[in-house]
Amino acid sequence: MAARAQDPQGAYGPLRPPNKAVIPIWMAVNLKSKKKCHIVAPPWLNVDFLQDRLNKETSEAGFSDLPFRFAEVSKVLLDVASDDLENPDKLRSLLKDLREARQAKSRDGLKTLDHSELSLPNLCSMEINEIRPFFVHSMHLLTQLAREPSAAQ
Amino acid sequence: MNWDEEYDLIAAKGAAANHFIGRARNALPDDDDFEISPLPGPGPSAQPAAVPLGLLLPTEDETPLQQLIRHWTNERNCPDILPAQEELLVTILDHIRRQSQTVQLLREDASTSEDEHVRIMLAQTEMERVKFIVRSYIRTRHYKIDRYARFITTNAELQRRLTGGEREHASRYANILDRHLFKCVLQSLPPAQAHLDDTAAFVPSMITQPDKTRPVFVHALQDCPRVRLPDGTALEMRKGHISLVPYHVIENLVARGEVELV
Repeated sequence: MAARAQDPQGAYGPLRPPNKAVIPIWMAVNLKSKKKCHIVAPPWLNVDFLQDRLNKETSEAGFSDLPFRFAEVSKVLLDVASDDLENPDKLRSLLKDLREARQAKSRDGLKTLDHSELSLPNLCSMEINEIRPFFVHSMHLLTQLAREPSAAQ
Repeated sequence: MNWDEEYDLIAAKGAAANHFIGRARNALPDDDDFEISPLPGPGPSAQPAAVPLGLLLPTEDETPLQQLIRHWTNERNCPDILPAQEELLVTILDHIRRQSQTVQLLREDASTSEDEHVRIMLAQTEMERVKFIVRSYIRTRHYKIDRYARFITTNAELQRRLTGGEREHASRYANILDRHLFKCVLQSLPPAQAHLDDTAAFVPSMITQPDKTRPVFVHALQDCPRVRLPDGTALEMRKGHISLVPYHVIENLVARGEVELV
């Protein structure tokens, strides 16, 4: 069976050997670990694309545009199906560089945190979870601090 | 608090009307997609022989499962209790029930082929995944209900967002907790200090209620109308925008499904 690592739910298949099919990633991983399929990498998981994003990441101020769950998906695919990907080692190091560049930026975001809003365009699910406890708590404290003067008046 | 009982209740109640429509819409596909060897031998031959791998068919643009996942992440990230998704859960539980029956039938059949077993395994994996989400969704709600039980019993608006079973659980839980506190401590205090709902000045309320000022990460699913931020400025979110804002700011957008919490 051949399978593509893409998202949607619904009825999957048909899964006939030489054909590609779009199935959820958990199913692809399951079949892959039983050696029943090859996984076709999503269009963003290749050296050229990630190199391009890394260049943008280091030269521009904002977060570059990546799939919302790129960290999770690439981790799973590199763990399970690294033989289906081109140049997995290069991919790993690129992803690591990307992660570090983005992490530095999200920490920088803390400087601009106030009690009302913080915009984080293109932030990814993993990065949100990384900063969630600290940011939510800080913002909550700022809210309380901002509320008190008006309550005292 | 047993969701199963509630399920049976609802299934019995709404079996005729809209529930049937949901059932028909999510009926198993008459699948020609998989070459399934027909089940020989006895057994209810009217049962669908195929194990459909797609648990849920897309409705308009989102499958019931995707909807549930969205409601689940919203519920988990939201400081308040969101409206219960009773109908959606019934649809999904109904589907799981029928699918597990089919799987059971196929497993018991000795003539089921090797290929078939792979498919059964996949269908079972998917059922387990869905069950996990359903369970986590319900537990998240129960955690909040326990926490705000006393508040819920006094707040009609919040009660409307709960299912019948959840409401009953909340009032029973609040009752038991009150009695427990009374027996342990309050009965030996002077009557003036034995209340659980004092509203003294400069002291937070004794009844825990959802803190809507808690910030949440919000992801705009579509272009949203402007919302007013606490500092007085307006925020207009375009599709795909991600932002950290206090929950009360975007409460209405969540209720209308224009944004999701991530």
